[in-house]
Amino acid sequence: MSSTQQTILLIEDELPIRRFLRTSLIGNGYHLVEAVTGREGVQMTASVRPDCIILDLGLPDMDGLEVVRALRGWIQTPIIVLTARGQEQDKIALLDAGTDDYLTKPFSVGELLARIRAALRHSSQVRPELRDLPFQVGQLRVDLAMRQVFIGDDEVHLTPIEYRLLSILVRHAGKVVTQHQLLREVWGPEYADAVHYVRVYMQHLRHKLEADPARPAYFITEPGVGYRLRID
Amino acid sequence: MQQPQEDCYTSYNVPMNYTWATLIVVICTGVAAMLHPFFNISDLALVYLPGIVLVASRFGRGPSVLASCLSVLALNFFFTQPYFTLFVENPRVVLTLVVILLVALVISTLTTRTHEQTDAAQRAAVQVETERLRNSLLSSVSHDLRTPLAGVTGALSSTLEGWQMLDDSTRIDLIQNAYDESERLSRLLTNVLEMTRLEAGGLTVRKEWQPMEEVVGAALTRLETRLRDRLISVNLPPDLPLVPLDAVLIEQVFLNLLENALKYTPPAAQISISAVAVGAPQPSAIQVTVADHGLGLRPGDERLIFEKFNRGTQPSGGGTGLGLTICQGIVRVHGGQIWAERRPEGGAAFIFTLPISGVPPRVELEPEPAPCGEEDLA
Repeated sequence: MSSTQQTILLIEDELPIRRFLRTSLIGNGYHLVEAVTGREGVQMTASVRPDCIILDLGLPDMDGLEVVRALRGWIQTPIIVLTARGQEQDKIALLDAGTDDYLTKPFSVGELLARIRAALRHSSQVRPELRDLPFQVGQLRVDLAMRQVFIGDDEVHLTPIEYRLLSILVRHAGKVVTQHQLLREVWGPEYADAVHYVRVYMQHLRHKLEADPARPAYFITEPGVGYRLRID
Repeated sequence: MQQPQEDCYTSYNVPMNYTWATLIVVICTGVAAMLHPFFNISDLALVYLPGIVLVASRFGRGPSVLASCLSVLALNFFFTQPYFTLFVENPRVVLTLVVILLVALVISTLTTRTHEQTDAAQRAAVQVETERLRNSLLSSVSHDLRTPLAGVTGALSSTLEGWQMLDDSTRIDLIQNAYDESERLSRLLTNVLEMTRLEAGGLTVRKEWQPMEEVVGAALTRLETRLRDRLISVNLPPDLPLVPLDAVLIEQVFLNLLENALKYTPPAAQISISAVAVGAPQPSAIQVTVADHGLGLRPGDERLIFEKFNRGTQPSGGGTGLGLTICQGIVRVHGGQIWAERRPEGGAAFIFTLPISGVPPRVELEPEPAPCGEEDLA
């Protein structure tokens, strides 16, 4: 970790939520700036250049999707949105528009910090020297440089598709990856309607890499949205 | 009612209704043609009456008037002398035809009216029932939501006001209590919202072909912390077919069933989840069982517990009594069934089916890499 404090921009109109996030984020060593409206959030992004943006979807002046589009036009800063349960289609639309991740209310501080870490790690992973480090979580170790996968000390042999699927999840470790993104990147655009392929191959991966495939420890399903490779 | 009395037929495809009316008259004419050598004109007219009743009850007034007129024209054209003209020689036959037309029109009017009245009565009954449910929902929900809320407020106000006097462990206890109660509040709200959506018919089902294992896994992951100390056995055969289902909704079914098991069974009791394919050689449905090894249901509760706000005769576990009703609603919109059984060896089993309709998608699998002993991983 670098010694410079990382800045988080929180765009949220509800005071109680801002208050609770303020305590937890500052307490965890982040520098926090706050915006109350979408417009203010976009302006502050330009002036403070945050390392990560937390965006609430229920803003009074702008639709969440609008804010994301307004920001994605010119910055690559990770964006995490705060949403409500049961809006899977909205989540997918937000992820497609360039949101990095989402959190469903109510959430715990622990979950939020994990999402922020994953998002920051991903944005810093653009540096090639970090990308080549093997990925490790629990018993699972993935060496993208050597194209090797281990559970404990044992190497696991994957088919080319399984490996491609795994490597995308590893590259986005900790973040949600939508089914369609996986489908596009592994199978290509001509398979756009064959989401079941992703599910069937995720099942294969779990059977090869999870101790109990029905209670996955690494490959977490986000129902209706996609998958997430756990990082801690 | 403020809304205009909506004719139940207007929602149908109107030109199609007239086509059906014509088609039914053609069929009646066919039957009449076969009977023609043996019967006279007024007997043949009787052949058309069931057709007109059918049209009136299924397609409404307009098509039934058309059917009545067409029937009389057909009778006239095919079965009165001179044949194959609309000219009628005999005045008695003209009278017969006019009477038949009148009878047909009266029948069609009566039938459509009866049909509309039944419909209106049904709508009124549904409205009364909805009203009743809404009232009981409000009273039940406000009570059930206030209870955990009171817990949160109570714990937090004691902490705030008594901060100086309390030691650390008591403070933590109180805050933990507030946290647990707020989680319970959140679960209750989820159920209430889900129920409202089910009832309003606003539930959109996005069925996609899914492996059952993934849905079970998602539910178990979500309940991870609360299931941590529980013995859970999952038994899903490796050749279980893909099932068309809405993963978000079916996950909710599992969540509600598992939460019930947590609520109503002692902490040491095992919970088991299993599924089998039903129907051979092509599976027509999948049958899922969530069973616990608790005290089981009391006789007679098997049905009761699926009713709204009904917790059976068990002592309250602190829910809204909506969980199973929601499960039932979700399973039904998938075209399946759900029921409860008392297990002979003790404990309760909740079983639901999901039909496998349509053609399962093909998955072309790639060959496995050279085997290298990955089987001994698990």
